[in-house]
Amino acid sequence: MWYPIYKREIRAYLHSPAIYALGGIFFFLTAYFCLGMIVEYSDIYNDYTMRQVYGMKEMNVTEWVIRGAFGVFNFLMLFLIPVISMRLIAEERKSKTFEILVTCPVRDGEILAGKFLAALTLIILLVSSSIIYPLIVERYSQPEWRVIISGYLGLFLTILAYLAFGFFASSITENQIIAGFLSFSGLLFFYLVGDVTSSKEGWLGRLASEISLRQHTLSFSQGVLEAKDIFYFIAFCVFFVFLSLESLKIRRWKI
Amino acid sequence: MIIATNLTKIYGKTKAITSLNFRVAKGEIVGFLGPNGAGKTTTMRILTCHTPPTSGKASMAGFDVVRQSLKARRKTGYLPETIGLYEDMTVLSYLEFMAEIKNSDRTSRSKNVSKTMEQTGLSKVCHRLIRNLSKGFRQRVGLAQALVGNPEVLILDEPTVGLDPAQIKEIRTLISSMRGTKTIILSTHILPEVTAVCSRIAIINLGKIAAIGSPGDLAKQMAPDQRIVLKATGQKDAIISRVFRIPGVLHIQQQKPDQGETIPLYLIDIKKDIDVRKVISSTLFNAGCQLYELYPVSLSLEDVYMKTVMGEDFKNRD
Repeated sequence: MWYPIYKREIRAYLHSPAIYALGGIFFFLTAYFCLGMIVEYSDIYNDYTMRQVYGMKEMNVTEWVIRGAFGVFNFLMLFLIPVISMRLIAEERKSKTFEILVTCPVRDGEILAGKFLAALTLIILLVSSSIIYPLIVERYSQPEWRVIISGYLGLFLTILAYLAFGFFASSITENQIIAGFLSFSGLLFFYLVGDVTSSKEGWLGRLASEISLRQHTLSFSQGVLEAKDIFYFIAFCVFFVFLSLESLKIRRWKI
Repeated sequence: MIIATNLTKIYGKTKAITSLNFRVAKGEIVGFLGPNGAGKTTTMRILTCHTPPTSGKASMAGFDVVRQSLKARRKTGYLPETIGLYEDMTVLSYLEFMAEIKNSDRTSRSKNVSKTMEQTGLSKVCHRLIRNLSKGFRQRVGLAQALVGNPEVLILDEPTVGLDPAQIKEIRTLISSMRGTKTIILSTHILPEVTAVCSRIAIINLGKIAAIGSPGDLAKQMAPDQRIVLKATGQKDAIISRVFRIPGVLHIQQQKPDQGETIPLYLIDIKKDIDVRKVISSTLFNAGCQLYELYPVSLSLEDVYMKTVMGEDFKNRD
């Protein structure tokens, strides 16, 4: 029964001017940063003096452009996903459509699956447009496709994890703005926690590094697939999906 | 068809409903009456599997609302008090979505949706966006989504709220037409609505069922004695003293006649199960009075409701 919900959500996205505006902003920002990096790389590459200033005889396009691009994509997800996920449950609660939805013969898990997969589809559609930048690079240079593929895999896992967290934030309040804020601030915490405390020694520093979202994306953008990173993102996603389901259940008892 | 046994719901320290017991037979229409905050909506939310009870049991079409929630929901259509609709959808696409989600048979789905739109008068607006509909039409869409999928049981929380008199009549006729085929509970504040549509009424007050039965039964239960209206001319004191002496008469008092009416009007309270109308007419005839009308009156539904909800306060007000 998740499929009718999925279809309805996709239709709602397609009819929402806000989603088109969001897509436009995303395209603009990715173009701004990625084309900026490509232009900068090209300038330095063609200017022998500048290469000497940077202390490089050989320049690697994968390091200069591709890794940077995935860093940008990962960072933009911090803003994009809370904006998309904040409405998932909160809006339904606010507009009272949830009251009818939960009295229909559909499980909480099916509601979650329909909405989660629809949001995931939308984000993947938006992100898939970014493939144009590796293709541009490919036209003029030889990027390492191993890094590009692992970068996209890392980005996909990041999206899953962020979306699960955003869904959970949306399930605990009926105010979209609060849901968006909770989602953004929570993700920002998980994103930065490793950087803030990485200098600290001891178990706290190690813990911060282990739970940091950003730390676990680094290996993907280097073309390395590490089981512990893959496991981290899957575990993060499963944990917050579980919490979202529990939140839906608890709120039924509270209502 | 609908059975509630010791149904209780507690929110924190507040008891929303306490040990509610009632049964609604297959094909019956029962009305929930009660002041705001009495527990009507809470009861309906439990019956529709929206909220589980704190204790007690409820079953819809033979399925327990907690243990067999999914099966119970398949048999139930629900119109909540505040209807939330997907504003970005057309009426048709919304009802198709609801039919699909209610797992209605794929082959008969579009037929079912068309029939429901026809029943609720939505056919002519089926391609309009819900956000552009008037309140009356939105209410109809709410009712239509409850009907779609052909559920055996309908729970309707104030189904005619926001409708104009003509629409109210249409919806009442529609609900009445489902008597015998669907089991329906509806809540309302409009007393004539329950008398027009429901075969039985449950008055809920302070989270408990204060009275349940047909309007006639409730009037009988609530009225300790009988009341007779007498319209007669003659000397007031003579009428009062002679009628009061008749065995079984408890009380007589003159009332203000209706506007434009010149014949004096008296209300006579008599012991239950005694008919003294014959004695009254002969007594007045012998006293030389002229009798115009003499008929028993029962409590109106409004009286029954007020008496049940307000209790002693209502008696004092009388």
